[in-house]
Amino acid sequence: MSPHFTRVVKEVYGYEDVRYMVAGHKTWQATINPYYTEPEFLRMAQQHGLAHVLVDLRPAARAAAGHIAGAVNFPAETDLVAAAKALDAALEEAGIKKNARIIYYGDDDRVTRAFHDTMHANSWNNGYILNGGMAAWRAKGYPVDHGPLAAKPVYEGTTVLPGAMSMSEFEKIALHTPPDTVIIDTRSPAEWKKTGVVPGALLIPIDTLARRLDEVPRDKNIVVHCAAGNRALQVWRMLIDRGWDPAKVRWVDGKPHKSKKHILKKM
Amino acid sequence: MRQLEKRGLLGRAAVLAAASVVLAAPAMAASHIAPNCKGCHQADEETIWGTIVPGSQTDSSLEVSTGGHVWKVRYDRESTLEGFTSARDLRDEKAVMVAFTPAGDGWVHAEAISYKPSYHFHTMDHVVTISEVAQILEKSPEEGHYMIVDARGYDNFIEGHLPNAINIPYYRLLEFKDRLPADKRTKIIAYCRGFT
Repeated sequence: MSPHFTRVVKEVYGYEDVRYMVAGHKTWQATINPYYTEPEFLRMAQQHGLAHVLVDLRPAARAAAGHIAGAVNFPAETDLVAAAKALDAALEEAGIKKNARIIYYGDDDRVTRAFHDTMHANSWNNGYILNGGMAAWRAKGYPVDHGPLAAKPVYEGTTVLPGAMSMSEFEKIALHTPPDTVIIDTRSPAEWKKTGVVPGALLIPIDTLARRLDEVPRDKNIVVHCAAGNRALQVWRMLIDRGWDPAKVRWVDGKPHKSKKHILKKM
Repeated sequence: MRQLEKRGLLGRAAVLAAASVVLAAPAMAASHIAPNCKGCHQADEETIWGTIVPGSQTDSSLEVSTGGHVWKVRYDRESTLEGFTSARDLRDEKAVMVAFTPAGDGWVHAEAISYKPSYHFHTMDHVVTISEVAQILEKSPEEGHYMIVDARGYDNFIEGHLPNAINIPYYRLLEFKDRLPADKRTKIIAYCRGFT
């Protein structure tokens, strides 16, 4: 969607030099470039039980004096390469896969970035730098643990994001929508026409939602879908922010038009 | 330009076609959206999507054709005009969106008018590669005079983003446009999910 975005920023708002990075964020991350996660996400991951390895890169004493719950300690400020080697070995020993979500933090984002780059070069390809490190975490007022840190990394928990619904679950609901459930298709009219829609679904393009919120029931289960999950996730966020019950709203993490069950029917 | 002319011609053809429909069925409710706009937009009771009727632009009004119907639109200093100061700045048959309140006498009062940027903009003329971005990022935003914009939603942004990136979800640009820098010469680099 950036193509439209760049055009509007240039022509409507008058910025002289507007560029579009076509390759997108996934390719950026895959090509060993630094990638930052926010404290808000890590906090959500803790509360939701999202599987991740959290690595504190500060000296043991400083980490013990205040760290983020669940972190393992691999001090990297004095010998970064040795620390990366030690973590690499510990992850291998724990049987953790190379695509596991790993979040690094410390007191100096430059050290964290160098560490991230070293790990990435060693094929740990789903690493994140906690933006702003320990200071940013504290600034948010999030809880800080004290005492010795765990030495062995563990990778436990769910890999499903909050509110997400798998395609297999959605297929069942799309074929037999229960009376207490409303499906919202947040794609554009052109997409509805091209691929068809789930019969009975409420059709609200994402850019129209703000004006049509009163059509979205509050007392029913809501399932939002789009073409791949991005817009559905954004609509999920909009509804939660506007007071819909988080227990009743789900977003579909998948591509309904690719379903082998043919859940979309011609309009 | 040729593309624009073609669109204009298509628009006229649609107006003529729709006009004959209206003659045949005069009781039909006034159309809020032109056929050409339907691919990407949806009208509602208080929004119209259509094209500017040639020569109708004045400093306080314009007429918008939605194919079957011509809307007489008044605007004043209370109206939000996006990217222009007078309807006279806008060319004939330009596609516009008008959010309105009925004003009586067959007029509507515009709360907001926004126009569609031209089709001259080819995104591929404005691309930047990952290695170019990596090079730009070697300097701080102040030093390098740039802003990296992550155009995805909030949840995608907090999960992972480029260094120094600012989050402006593309479908909420109007809401978050104040996050863009004051200096219009700042290099803006936008990214999202990428072509898949």
